[in-house]
Amino acid sequence: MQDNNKINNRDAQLLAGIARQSHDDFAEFVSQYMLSIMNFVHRFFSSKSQAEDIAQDVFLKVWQNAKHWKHNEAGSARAWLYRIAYNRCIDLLRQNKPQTDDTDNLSTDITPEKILLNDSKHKQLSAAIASLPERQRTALSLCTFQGLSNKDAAKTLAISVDALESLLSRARRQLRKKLTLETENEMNGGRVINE
Amino acid sequence: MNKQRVLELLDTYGADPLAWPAEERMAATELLEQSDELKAAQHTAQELDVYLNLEAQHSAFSQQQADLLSQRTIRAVNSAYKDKLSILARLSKYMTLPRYALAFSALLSIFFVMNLMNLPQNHVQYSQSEFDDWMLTQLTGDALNEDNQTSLDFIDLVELENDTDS
Repeated sequence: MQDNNKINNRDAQLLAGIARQSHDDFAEFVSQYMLSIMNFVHRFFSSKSQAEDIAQDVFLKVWQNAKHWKHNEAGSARAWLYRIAYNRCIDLLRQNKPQTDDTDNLSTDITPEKILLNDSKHKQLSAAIASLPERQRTALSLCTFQGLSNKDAAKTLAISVDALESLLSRARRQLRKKLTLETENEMNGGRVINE
Repeated sequence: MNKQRVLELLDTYGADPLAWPAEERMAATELLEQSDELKAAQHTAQELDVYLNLEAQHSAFSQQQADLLSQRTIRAVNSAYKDKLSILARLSKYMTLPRYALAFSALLSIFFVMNLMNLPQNHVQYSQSEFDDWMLTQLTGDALNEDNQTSLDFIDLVELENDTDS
């Protein structure tokens, strides 16, 4: 809790610095959150190159608009950052369909960790998460994968905490259902093959 | 806090109490420890958490890729900032000549305003009767002059006659 407060305070200081056009503060902020934002955006766009472009765009918007950030209105600096990223993704999704790069799916550096992560259960889960409605997927991503507090995630999505909890519980229920169904299918499939 | 709320917390945030809202965590944990039903629900929630935690650890991008993009982004902002500064610098260079022109015109303006202030102020106040007289003079001035001339001529003539008689 104290760590979170420390992080929030530091982020607020960095944003204040960025508002004064401090390049050092901007560099620290970008370095701290670039990977998280890239992964968050990648949940909306399967193309890695597109996700990179959008992540860069998000930080350029941070540089331009840091002076407009107000803690009371926009929540924590993290919530504000994710809100920019979320809005950018939604705008682009409305404008055009996401691109898919076949080359992105080709793994160039196969490591034991990746092999473990690319097991069938992980693929099932990724597919199940991808099939969730956009709001549920974003709520789950913010709270579970990006580690935002429920209040910050609610601010990011511009909804109440109650509405966020509803999205999260529906998302988790759907995931459980899909994973259970697919496990059952696998088991049934396995029996057929064995027979 | 009641059982229903703990079930909602498990359903919403998962089995790990650290993921629950801080203000409800303690009360919910106490209730959970007292109920087998809630413990079973926690166990069910834990199964999904295992996969979600695995997914959370999975990153589509490496830290190296993120660092490269960070550097690119910082460079883009720096170069845009430098461009902005250089535009201002160039503008200020070209502004040297207008600066002198501005200073000169400012001096001229001050001089002109000071002269305006020193102009004679002929604002004489006239009463209505004086104004009427003046108007009458303007309208009938020539005629009066002629009359005056005539009357002078007449006086001269009478004086001349008197002199002749005497």
